[in-house]
Amino acid sequence: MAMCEVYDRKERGLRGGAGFDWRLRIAEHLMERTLSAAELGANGWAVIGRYVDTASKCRRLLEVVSGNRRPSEEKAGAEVAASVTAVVALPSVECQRKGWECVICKEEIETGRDVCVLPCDHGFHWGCILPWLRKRNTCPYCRFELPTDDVFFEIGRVWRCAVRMGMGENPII
Amino acid sequence: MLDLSRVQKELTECNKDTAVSGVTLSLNGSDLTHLAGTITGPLGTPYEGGVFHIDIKLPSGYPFEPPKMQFITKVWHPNISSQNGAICLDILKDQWSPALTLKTALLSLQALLSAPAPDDPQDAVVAQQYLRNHPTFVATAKYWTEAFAKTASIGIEQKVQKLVEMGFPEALVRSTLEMVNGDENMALEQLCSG
Repeated sequence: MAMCEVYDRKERGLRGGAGFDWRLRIAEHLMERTLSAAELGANGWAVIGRYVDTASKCRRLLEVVSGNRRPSEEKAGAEVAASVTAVVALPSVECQRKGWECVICKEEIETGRDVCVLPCDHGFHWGCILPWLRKRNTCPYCRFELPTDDVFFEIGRVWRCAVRMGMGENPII
Repeated sequence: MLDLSRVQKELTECNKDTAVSGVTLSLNGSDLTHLAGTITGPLGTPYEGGVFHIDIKLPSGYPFEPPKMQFITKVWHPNISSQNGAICLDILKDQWSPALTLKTALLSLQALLSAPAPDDPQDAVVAQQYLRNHPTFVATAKYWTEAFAKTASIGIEQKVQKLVEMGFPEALVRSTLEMVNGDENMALEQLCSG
């Protein structure tokens, strides 16, 4: 979202060509915006509201660009694979309790075996979850969405996260 | 690759409490990729008292791909085609998850019978009737349940007799009825199509 806003405001700056340091620019921008005197002491919404606003602008822009396909309202069901980076970063945890069933193969996970644990805390056999994540980015158990490599889908995903946050849930992004 | 051991497990699991759940799952011959399911019509709906047969085909990607389900028993419902029994239900399409099972899918179909979603119809004619002329919808759905979902209560001999009277040879009638699990309408369709 921050990137979108930077893009919005400093378009000229971005045409700087090679050697342009994105990260520095974003960090500077964030410092400038969120830590300004006006923002200090303001409530959390004042800080995050700006980004939600930007996200909604991004979304609308995307709707126009993609011919009214509404990414945020599209059912979270389009088949998009989980991002390879996100999958590689998933922790492998040794199963230590008995009676833990892998809901994909319906077999009990033996203690001592390494299992894949998603950010939502649901665990599966590695051999079972990987074929699924190659197809879809969701947790089979709770539909928690892992990041994807699809830019269009990502805007929708972040938007759905923001909506859930707005409803008082505490999403893991 | 189809996970056969999972399918076996699901079969045993599903048939443990058929009396409580109202859904059954059985093999269609020896082929584990082609199953047959039944659901009982939910109480307090026009489908009450009926038993609905469902054809289940497992794609090679199961459980990573949803099972293909279709009503064999004719049913009058906004989300089920009155022509071919095709079902419009998200979990059988893009909302499928490998944590779901054939049993949960059948239970979802039962829930669909209780709670039609006419805004996302499979059969536009039924959906329109559901929205604009609800009493007629209820009456038609009840009639279809009586006519098509309750035939199983007639004894097999009566069905044989009925079909023989229509002019089909008795041996053929018996073998056809057996093939379609005693579903009179299905048998008739088969016999007519030769």
